[in-house]
Amino acid sequence: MNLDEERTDLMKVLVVDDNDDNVELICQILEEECQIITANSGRECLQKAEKEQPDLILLDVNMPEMDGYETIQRMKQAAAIKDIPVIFVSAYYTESDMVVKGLEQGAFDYLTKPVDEDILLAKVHVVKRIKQAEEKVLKQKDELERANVRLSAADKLKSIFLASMSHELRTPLNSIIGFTSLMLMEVPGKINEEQREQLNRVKRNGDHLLELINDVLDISKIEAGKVELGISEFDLSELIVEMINSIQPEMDRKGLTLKCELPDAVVTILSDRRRIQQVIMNFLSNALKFTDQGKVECKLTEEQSNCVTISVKDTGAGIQDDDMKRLFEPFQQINMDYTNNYKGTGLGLYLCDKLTHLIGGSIEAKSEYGEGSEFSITLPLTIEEGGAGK
Amino acid sequence: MKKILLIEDNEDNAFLFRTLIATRDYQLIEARTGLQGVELAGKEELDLILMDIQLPDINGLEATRRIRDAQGEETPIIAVTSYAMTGDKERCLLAGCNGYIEKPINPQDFLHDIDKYL
Repeated sequence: MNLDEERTDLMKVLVVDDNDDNVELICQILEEECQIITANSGRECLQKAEKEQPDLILLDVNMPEMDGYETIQRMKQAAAIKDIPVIFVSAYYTESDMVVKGLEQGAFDYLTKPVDEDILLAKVHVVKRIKQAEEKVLKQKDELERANVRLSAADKLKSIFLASMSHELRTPLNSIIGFTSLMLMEVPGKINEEQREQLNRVKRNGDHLLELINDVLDISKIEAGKVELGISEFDLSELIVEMINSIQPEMDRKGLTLKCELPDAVVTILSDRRRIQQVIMNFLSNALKFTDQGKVECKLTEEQSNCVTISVKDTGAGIQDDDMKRLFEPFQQINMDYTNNYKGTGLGLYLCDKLTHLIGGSIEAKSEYGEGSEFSITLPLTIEEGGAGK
Repeated sequence: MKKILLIEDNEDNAFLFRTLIATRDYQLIEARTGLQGVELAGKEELDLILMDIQLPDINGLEATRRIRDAQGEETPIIAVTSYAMTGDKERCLLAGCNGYIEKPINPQDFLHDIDKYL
């Protein structure tokens, strides 16, 4: 602590007593560590308290005209001085009800006359410690408020950055994916098999880059609580068939069997179609990615209590117990050892978890290492008003 | 022959749309800025306008509003844009666009979409 701080650290004490000897006595005890102001009446106490803003008032109870009780009552009504701690000083403090009366009127503490030097100093120290603690809290509150302002500015900047990043990345991707597709469609002319294979790789990587941008944007929206759900009524079986059809060619290419099991009756659901599609497509592409041989099974089952479960089961690599825990955390990928057998952002399942909760469902993963994995979501057939986020 | 106005400032993207549209029996005219686009829309008999949103002088939303103010609702306008955040589609429709296609486009879907309007 430097000198300046020590000086401002001095407690400013207002001593109020109609008897000059009493004032003098208290002043002698406190002069070493306090800056002292004195008053001889309740009226003078109010004036000086307002003007000097002391840290503590030692207030005599028994004074002519305005006694200590009346003085404190008036203090409590004046905004500028109502919070200054008051210690009552009285020779009449022999009965406990008088002590109680003083405390009830808002006094911080009391002292009996003749004033004991050690007790007075100890009480002044308590007030000082409280004052320091209050100042610290105020300072922290101030710092917090300033940090908050900085944070919202940073958050706003982040949103602007994300919007502009999204725009700036999509524009060149439009040319990359667009022209590649154009050549694959053989618009400019016939291509041979080798060219097709290479263009497909460009296309796949372009698509992957786009997925990445969309994932990052989705997560930032979810974390900012800005996701809007698009609720509609639709046939869930039809959606699943649509997804199965879209991934079938890639399953074929890897030589995997793709099975799909649906109930006989139509399953009508009121939910966010796009979000369900996002989650299930994620399960399906994971199954595709991590399964080298065998099969992938997608199953829709109707549950009791108006719920449905959609599961995707594979005969792939499986997940070790240790990894199961981190499965739904962001940026986690099993075997992150730079060998990168499996490409991905590590955002997929984290996003699935968040999205599933948003639409009022729950997500589950089961796996046996080396045998395969099963991911499933259970959803209400009718999403509750106002979504979920439970 | 149906006539399409493409308002797009990025030359690569314009080239892509030009090539795609050339696979169909449509006539294409092009503008590189919003103001150019509004001017062409006032002079030409058009069947469809493809509107980029980020443009050098006035943006696509403003261009759409001006075209709607001057020519009314007759010509369909489709926003073709990289603005793909929440609310972007609604902003385009509110400005007077009939449709919204997000970039990067899927060429087949894109052709399918514009065929619907012609």
